Amino acid sequence: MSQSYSEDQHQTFISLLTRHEPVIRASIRAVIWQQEDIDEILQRVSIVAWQKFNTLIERDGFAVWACVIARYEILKFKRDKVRDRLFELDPDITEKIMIEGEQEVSLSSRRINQLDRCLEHLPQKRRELILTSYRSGCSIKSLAETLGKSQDGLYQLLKRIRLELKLCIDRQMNIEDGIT
Amino acid sequence: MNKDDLDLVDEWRHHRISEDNFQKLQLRLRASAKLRAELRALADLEESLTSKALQTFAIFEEPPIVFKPLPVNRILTILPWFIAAASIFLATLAWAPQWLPIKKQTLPELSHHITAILVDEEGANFSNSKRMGDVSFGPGTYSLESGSIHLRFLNGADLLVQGPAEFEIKNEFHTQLWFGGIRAIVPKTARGFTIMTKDANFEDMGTEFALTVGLENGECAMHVFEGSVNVRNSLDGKLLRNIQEGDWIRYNGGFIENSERVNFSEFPVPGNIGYHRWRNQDKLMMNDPDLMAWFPFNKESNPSLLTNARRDQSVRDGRIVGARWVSGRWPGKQALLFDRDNDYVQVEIPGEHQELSIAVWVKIDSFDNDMNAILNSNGADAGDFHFQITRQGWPRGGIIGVSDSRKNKWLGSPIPLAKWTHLVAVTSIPNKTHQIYVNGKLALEGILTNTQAPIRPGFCMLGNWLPSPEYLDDPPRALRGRIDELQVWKRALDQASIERLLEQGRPNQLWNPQNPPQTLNIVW
Repeated sequence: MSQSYSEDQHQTFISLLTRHEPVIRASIRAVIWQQEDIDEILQRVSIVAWQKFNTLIERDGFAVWACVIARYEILKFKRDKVRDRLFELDPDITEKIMIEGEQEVSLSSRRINQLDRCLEHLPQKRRELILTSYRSGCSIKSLAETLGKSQDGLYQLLKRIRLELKLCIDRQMNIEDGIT
Repeated sequence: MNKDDLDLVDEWRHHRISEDNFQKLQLRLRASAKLRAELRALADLEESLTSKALQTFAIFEEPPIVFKPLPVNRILTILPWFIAAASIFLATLAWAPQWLPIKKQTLPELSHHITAILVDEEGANFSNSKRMGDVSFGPGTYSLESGSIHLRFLNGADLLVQGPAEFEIKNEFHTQLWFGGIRAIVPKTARGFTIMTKDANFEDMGTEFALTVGLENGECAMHVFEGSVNVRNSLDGKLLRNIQEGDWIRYNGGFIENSERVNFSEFPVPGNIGYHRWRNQDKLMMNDPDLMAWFPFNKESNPSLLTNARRDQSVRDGRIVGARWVSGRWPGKQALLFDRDNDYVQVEIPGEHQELSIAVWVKIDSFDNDMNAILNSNGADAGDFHFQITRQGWPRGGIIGVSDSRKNKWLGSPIPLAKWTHLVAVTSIPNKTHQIYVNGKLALEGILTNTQAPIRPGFCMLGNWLPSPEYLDDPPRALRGRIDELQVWKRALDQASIERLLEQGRPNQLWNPQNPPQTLNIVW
């Protein structure tokens, strides 16, 4: 197992994991909505990936390979831990979303890298608001209380900002692809 | 792509979906590859935002972490993850965009970030550009000339500052105290919260300490009430001493002195800033001849008495029947709980009046009855006063034989449950008006139809109406909730006066006078 790996393999594994972690995390995020569950699954994926690293032939395929591991770990996690929890997607839907996602890893990576540019297009207040809403431990309820807004009003505003960012990301991708 | 489908996805992602809609979403996700792709795109966006938020709020200065020695085999196990974490951190630093400052103390672009919020204040007066009424505090220097403030940092730490004081918020975990006094209450989420001074840094290891810094010589005096505090040299961060619960320290010119204990007993604690502000209400109000009664709801040696603080007025103390003493708007402030059918306070408002204003602070637990009494005359004869809330949360009332409730107009939003709320009923016979204000906003407006009869409340019940035999068929009107202040004025308060009362009595600065909007379709 890990003892049989060389120092170089260590370095390579860590470098690949670091580079592709956002994509792996995003693939988990697509079907798991609780942050602590996402963290736990990512940790499991990292451990399994490290244990099986010598079975990976093409290093270029690391992200897809790790996403496949993530799919199995998610299904196992759902079966063991969140079987009866409300608002968890059924396993067949989870599997569909993940399998399709494995074909789109490079697309996902490109989307993730577009955010900075699109955030710059937002007015400062909106940019700060959306980032604050995604900071660890921040809930709509607490943020709404802090800002003196209704929860529903704040949620609608954040939804509009998300839509704006998503449209911007799509636009940037189209520009890169020469579509517009 | 159907907009409703996208809304369902967003609602699910943000925990706002109903069970029915979740089932609908599952059906749509099974059927539509396009919707599944949209879900993945949203997840990508949210992953980027979460990661960006993490960098934005945590990159600048991490709270100090206390390392415990680990066994060698444990170190070997975590080594790859440690290297990974370090790589991510370094990559993050390299990736940070230009608008994110990295150095501490120079946070120009983040100056609009909220680092702390003002929970409460008493007589706070800032000498620099800080506007009163603005509850957000970002990185920067603040000169509190007088008064006290209670700040809550986004990491959960509470900081009470007593003026005169000058302090500089550097970030969530670090505040420089140039002079003045502070008390810090630090939960687990903010462990490592540090107050920096010229010579020493005081790093909280949980959970409460107070510190003063002298204006002239910069001498520090610190007392740990709970947990422990690390005192570090401000230049090299070297640990000078760990001060434990109940102990204190003086630090001056680079030397620790274990001399005289500092008296922090008069120093404000969370909650009592608001209470103090309320107790020091405008002297003018207490000398106002039109204030017939002010019941501050202080439990006296005879717990059955509700004392009228205006001893010079004709309104006698109230008699408490059933209602029990509980906590009010602030720690230490008392209230009466009305939660049984026969709970009430008997008060008498004697005399005949042309104008009358009744102001109460109330927190309603539930609207159990068609009418839920605030203050009602015992009878229902001409001149009697009735002030209550309907089952739907709308205020209602007036003077019997003078007001015509069918001509009332309801405005604004209903009274919320489980929230301290300020209610004022104002009646003026000369102006032919009857109004009820909820949290300073006009909520009911009525026109008096008979201006000949005077206002004659007489014996009243607070929190109930137990009618005389001729009204026995009427359903009960017992209040379910708490009241912690009652004022009776023999003049019609104007909006400005009502707003002033609201400001003096608001539970804290984060308390929002807005109420949830009405969503039910009520037929009157």
